[in-house]
Amino acid sequence: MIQLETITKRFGNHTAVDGVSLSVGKGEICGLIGANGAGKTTLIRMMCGLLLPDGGKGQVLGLDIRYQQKAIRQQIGYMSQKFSLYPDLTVEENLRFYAHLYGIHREAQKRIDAQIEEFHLREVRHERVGRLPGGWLQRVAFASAQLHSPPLLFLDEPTSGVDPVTRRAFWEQLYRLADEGATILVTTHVMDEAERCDQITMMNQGRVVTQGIVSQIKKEFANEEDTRLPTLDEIFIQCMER
Amino acid sequence: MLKLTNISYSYRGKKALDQISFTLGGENITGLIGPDGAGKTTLLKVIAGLYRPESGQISGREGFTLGYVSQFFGLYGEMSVQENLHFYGRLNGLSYPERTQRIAELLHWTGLASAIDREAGALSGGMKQKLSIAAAVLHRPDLLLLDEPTNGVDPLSRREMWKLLQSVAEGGTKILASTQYLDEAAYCDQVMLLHKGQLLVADSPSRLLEDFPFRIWAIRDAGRERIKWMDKIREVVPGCEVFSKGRDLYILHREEMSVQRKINTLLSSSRDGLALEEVNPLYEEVFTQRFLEADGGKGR
Repeated sequence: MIQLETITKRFGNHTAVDGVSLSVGKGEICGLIGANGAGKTTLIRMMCGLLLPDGGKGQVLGLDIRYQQKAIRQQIGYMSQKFSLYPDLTVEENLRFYAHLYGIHREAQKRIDAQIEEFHLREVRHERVGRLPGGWLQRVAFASAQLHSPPLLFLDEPTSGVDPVTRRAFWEQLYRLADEGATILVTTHVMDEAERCDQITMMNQGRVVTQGIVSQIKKEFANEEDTRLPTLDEIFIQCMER
Repeated sequence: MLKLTNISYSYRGKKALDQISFTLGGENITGLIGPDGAGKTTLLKVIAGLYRPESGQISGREGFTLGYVSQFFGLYGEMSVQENLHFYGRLNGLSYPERTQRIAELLHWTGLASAIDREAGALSGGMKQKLSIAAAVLHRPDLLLLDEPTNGVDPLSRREMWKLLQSVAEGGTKILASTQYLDEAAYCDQVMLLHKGQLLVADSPSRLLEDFPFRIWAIRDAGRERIKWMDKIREVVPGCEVFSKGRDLYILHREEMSVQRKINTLLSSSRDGLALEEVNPLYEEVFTQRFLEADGGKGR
């Protein structure tokens, strides 16, 4: 679903993304981990068809990220960290806005109704989004990102700030989506979220510092004298200090 | 010591704090842990005296000094590091020699010495935070309140922040810091778990781990079959809590043998070669269970 080969992006003298390769298969959840400024957002924008790379090549959903940006944009779902919802619009109005944005017109009401059911939003359907507590916002944003049933979802810190019960339930929902064949890319700097991904790519200063399945990375970084496997936090710190 | 008794506070008709009672000042570092909207900022502001609680009382304020670092950078961006510190020193009534000595000490200790003449507004996020902390402890307060000092930063910066707070505590100032990251309990001598305005737990983190009444088993590398296994386990062991973390599955239950036996039977009937392994609880699991119980006693 995602195949990147030595992707590079420069802004002036600054190399934001430096030779990153990435491969994510159908139904996989991939975590993109790094501190602020590590290059995660730039990389995501290139995968979403919002930014052209300066070097390297890549395909997303079988489409070329250099020449088929528009087609990519129509087939992906994106949920930003700040949830990008309109506070003055109601839940339903926000969903309608996103439906039109994704090019759903005739089927809009049907899809909106389906999402309202699936995400248990009926009781807040006519509430203004600005008046809803955080946990609800996350649900509305997630429902909006999936109005068009995209085969590929980009989620930016999807459970930052939510309570642990909601977080656990949200991740189960992600696993079910993946089980049904959706491919999911999660960006985060919280290792708690990183632990939940099938595979991770850790970035620092535009480069990949470690990449692979979480349990295998832990074994690679294991200290011989320590019987306990390192946590992702410890691995992250080790990579940054190198 | 600062003693809070039955503190309640409402905001826009909603109870932001509901009958909170505890005592501060005994432990070096207290972590106030909870998700967004739990009431952490409100509680810190009540303790700081910025909000007046609608009911309940706080005793021990007399002679008890506080420092407060909010989530937002509150210093003067157009003044230099040194000017800011002198300004706050004067506000706190320190004499010139007193503050000169204290500022030199704090600059050295926070590593800001090389930046004394830089404009505060032009500092990096991490340096701004250190400067805010330095300004808040100039007068050597009894207690330093910090509102989510590690929010939104990477693990390395988080670890450095907690080290800094540990050294503040060693200097005689007790710490009360809020966070939404459950694993940061490991840095605290005492944790307070806040959920929907209620204090669910106030205890030492190590005791919380020891007293955890659940056993936890992991099934490693259930991988892409995790949903199938989660559904099956829920069917065979009603009332257990099952969740997946990446490719691993975790099962929580109060009872022991029967659960283990049932799941083992289930696993052996498949050809995936999966095995059940008992694991130690993490803070995340301990706290999540408390949240689950608070949310309508599901307590699966």
